[in-house]
Amino acid sequence: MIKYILKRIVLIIPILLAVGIMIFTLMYFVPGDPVSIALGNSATQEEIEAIKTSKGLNDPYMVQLGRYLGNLVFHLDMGTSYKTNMPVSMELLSRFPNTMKIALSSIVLTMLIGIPIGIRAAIKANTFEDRLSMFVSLLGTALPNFWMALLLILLFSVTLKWFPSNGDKSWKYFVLPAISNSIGSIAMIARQTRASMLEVIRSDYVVTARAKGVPERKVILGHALPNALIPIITVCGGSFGMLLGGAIITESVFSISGIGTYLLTGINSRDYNVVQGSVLYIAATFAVLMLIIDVLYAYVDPRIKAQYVQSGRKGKENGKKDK
Amino acid sequence: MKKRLMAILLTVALMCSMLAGCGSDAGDEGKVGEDGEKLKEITLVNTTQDYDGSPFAGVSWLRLLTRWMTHGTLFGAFPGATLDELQPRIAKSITMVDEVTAEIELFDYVTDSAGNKIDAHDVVFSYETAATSGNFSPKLLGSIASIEATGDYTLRLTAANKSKGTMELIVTNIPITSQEWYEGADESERTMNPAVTGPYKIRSFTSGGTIVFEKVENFWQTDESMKADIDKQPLDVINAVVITEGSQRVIALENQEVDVSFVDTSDIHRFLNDDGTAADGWMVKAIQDMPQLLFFNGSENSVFKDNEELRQAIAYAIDSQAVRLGGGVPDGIGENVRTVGNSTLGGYNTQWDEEDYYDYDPEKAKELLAKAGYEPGELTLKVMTLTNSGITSAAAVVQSNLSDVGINMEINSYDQALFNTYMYDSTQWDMMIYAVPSQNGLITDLWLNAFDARSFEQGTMNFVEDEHLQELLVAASEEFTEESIDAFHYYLKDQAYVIGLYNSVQYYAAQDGVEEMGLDGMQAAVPTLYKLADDYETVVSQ
Repeated sequence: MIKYILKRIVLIIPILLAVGIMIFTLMYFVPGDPVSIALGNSATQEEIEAIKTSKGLNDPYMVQLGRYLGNLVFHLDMGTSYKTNMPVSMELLSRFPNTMKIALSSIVLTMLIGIPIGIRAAIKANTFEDRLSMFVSLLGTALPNFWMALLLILLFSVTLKWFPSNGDKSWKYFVLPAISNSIGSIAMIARQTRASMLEVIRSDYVVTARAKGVPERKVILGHALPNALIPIITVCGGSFGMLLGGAIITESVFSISGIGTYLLTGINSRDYNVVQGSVLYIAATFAVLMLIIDVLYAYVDPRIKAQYVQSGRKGKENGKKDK
Repeated sequence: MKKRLMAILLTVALMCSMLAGCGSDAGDEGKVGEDGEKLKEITLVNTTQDYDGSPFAGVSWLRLLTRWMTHGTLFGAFPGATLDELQPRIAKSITMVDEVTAEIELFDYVTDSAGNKIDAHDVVFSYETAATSGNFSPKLLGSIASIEATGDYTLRLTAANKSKGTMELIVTNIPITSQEWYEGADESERTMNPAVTGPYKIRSFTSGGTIVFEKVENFWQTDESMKADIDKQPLDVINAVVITEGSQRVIALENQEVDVSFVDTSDIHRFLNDDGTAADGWMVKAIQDMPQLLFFNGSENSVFKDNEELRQAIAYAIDSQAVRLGGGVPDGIGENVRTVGNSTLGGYNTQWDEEDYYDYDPEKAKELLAKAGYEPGELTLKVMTLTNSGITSAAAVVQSNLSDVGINMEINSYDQALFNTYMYDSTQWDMMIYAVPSQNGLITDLWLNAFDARSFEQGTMNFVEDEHLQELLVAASEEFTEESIDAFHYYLKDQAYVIGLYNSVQYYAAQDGVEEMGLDGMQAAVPTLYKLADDYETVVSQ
């Protein structure tokens, strides 16, 4: 199992390199540059070019790419922001807590509400309760979260004055972002849970458990739910990954200083290092989360664990044969 | 089952503790000083997340409002201030030795907030570092021919040209810092906790979040009579919170989460009465910004090249009053402009207000269009604007006006980065709506920025190659007489290479009790220039 995890960790490195090359190439070809924005429109082309040259922005593509990858691989250096001169990695670290707070509170809210709704809908399949919860879920998926964010602000901030409309000073400031962020994923998880549970509820072993007189609550939570968890974990993991990558819209609407707004600011000012660093961070977060999800599969489903162990052994045997 | 329940409860508890732990700097600050006196404090809005407190950093929104408040300059200025009107800051006096050379004497007791002494060598170091930082306007830096220390507290500064306002510009726009501190500090100290020569320093810095400024208790200038306006310390604490969304800024003001905020033109009606006065409970400051100008592409392959009638046809087709209203500048606050410039700029001749300046005349426009050789409906033009609700709305009015005379128009709006790239590409636009700045508050500076052939690869900003225009420009900027300025204005008006549309306005709304918001030499509403009612207390609950 540990071998499997190590193998996956090693695989993340080429993925990140590929992402680094792709994002560098994309930014290289996007029109606009950080120097002309910094200097404003009273700067002449000649002056802009002179400063671009001094910052190495006029070097050939391969030279710039080599320099970027060299710093990244050998010094773990994502560069500094052209706008603020601050190291990108330091900025990402300083903004990570806010993004984490939003992501964690959103995903907990999502799981605490979405999974029970989905289970209830599956148990009461094709009843009014099921249809109502699925209708509400559909609505939740269809509503854009920026719109939900604005509605929440109007209700809870402007009218009721319960929560502040923007900022990140204390826990109160994260309530509305967490709700607006999780409404879509609550709906998605609820629908996914319902679908998975419906499949499992009709299985023979569930029928057998009921026939043996096992209490319904235990049948659902003890027998059905664990077997329906794999797709739910996948959806939850994906949502959490997206949230950790920075909820760009939510962070912007609520003016929270997180990874999402950092990336957005970087794109607007063509701050190449900021964009590249942020995208790399998002890719790394996703890759690590996907690994965690795969490991979680093994704990939830012994068959998958056996597969992982087997693949590790096969690798070992192949190695011996080669020798 | 119990284990799972425990796991869920633990997760919730962990999350709650994390969220509860994220207390704020600003929120925790008391409102009472050490001496028991109530602190004067305000909270204002920063519209972008890219603040950098170091002396030689690039421009950002909050930096525009606070840079000279934290970093001292040789002199302080107000809009349009001449050399005689400059206020001493780090420099005590300035004497012009000839048309371009100034002898400057510094105060001999200047220190920064870390206690480092500032002398002429620090000033020279600051000017040299600004020049190599890549963050200052090349035009400003290009105006400095040389700077040398002639003694511990005396300097000789030479301007690179004789243009009116050049010396004022270069002595009021370079931050002065201690060489010893700067060279010893790392990048994060420079950005987040710089030693300052101005009256305010950064108390706390959250990257992308709230920045708190506080007055320097041991500010070096103790002689009140010698203090420049910007060096006065009317406030104890200034909180700058980031709110990037326009509608959120309005909510923050209405919810009393901030005292002062910049407000988009599309939202300002919420703070104004119908007659343009501030609504009850609010103070509204309308800052006359630079004029929005319509540039005609004068490059070789453009339809406007050597077609004066076509340019004039378009000028007459535009109802500039409707364009101004479309741009969110109501009557009583904004004005239509009568030249490439506006009446707030030094050198503006009020006589121009009495004269015709392509006053709206669609019939004349149609005649001129026919003379230019175009049938109605034959011509389709691309206009380039910045992505800005006011300007794109104004462009839509221009589009409608041109449609009335038979010219089709396509509006292409770009973000700042793309706009800056495309403005130098003559194949990207036929017309461009853009406000050119004047760094020193003089009309000739705006003209130099737009038309000086020495600054562009091909002619002017809109690719016009006209030697006579250049001669008149040099004369106007160097002589700065009514005749030379008039000569340039009338020639430009006749040629219609560029026409002025309307004067754009920047709005700030503040809670009642903020009585006035003064402006520095660059028209920025710097917090130290605010005037508050004696009993004003911040509306923001702590």
